[in-house]
Amino acid sequence: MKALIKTLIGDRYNALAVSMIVTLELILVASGRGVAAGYAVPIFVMAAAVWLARR
Amino acid sequence: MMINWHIFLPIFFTAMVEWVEAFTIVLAVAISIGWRAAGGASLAAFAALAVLTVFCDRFLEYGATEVWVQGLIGVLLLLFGLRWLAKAIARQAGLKALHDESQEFAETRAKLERADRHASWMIAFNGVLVEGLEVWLIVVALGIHDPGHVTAYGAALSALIVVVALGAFAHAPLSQIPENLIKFGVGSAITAFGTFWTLTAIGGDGIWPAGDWSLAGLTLFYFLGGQLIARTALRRPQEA
Repeated sequence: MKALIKTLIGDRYNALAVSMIVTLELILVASGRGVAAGYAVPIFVMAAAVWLARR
Repeated sequence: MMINWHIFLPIFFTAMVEWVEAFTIVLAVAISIGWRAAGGASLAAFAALAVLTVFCDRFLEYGATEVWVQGLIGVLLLLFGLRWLAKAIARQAGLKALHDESQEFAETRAKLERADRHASWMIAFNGVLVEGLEVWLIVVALGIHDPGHVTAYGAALSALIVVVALGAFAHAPLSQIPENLIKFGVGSAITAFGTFWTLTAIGGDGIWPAGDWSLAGLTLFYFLGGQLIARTALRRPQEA
């Protein structure tokens, strides 16, 4: 079971990074900045990957 | 039947990485308890995997709208892809040791020396099940527009056949496959799909500046951006 959860979610830092990405998407779309989201989200995702890589 | 290469290739390469890992574990177990028992454990894991996939496929088909499925699978892909991309960046930058199948093989052998026959069987079973589960996630996620997932499952099975054939021919861990480069590419593609689908599920089809072409742009951005950052900003200075 532990292996299954680890396979699906990874560690808590990974889960935190993904929840931040989805939250950013929700905020940008809900505030009418959908066009900006197409550019801002990938940059944020890249930053999250680098943050995880440094851990 | 026409093969959709946009679906086939990413799944094939991702599945290949996972099957190589599973094969390495089974190989190490086979040396300890024999091919018959290790093969039996692998077949049992594939049977469990088949039951799981049929159950989960039915669940996804039952009343789930495409937007919800896209959103859910997008999140799963992000969870999966971001990990791969981060690890590939860390390895490229020298922050983490390159994943070595030989090392994994040796570690599994060391574990086996401490374990009994039953535990060895379980190691092979769990290894194939967990790696197979990752393959299934990719099949479902990347094969969402593939009716019946025929191309997607075909890609995963082709990768399995190639790995087993290579393994049978080489009789050694498949460390000659440049795993980190494959993981960099696959991690970038999976993260791109995850980003694309989560934002599409939230904001609608027209949210991406270049429509479906944005997927290719995202993949390139993560791959080239990750390589650049790994080789410059994150690069650990080499000791003299």
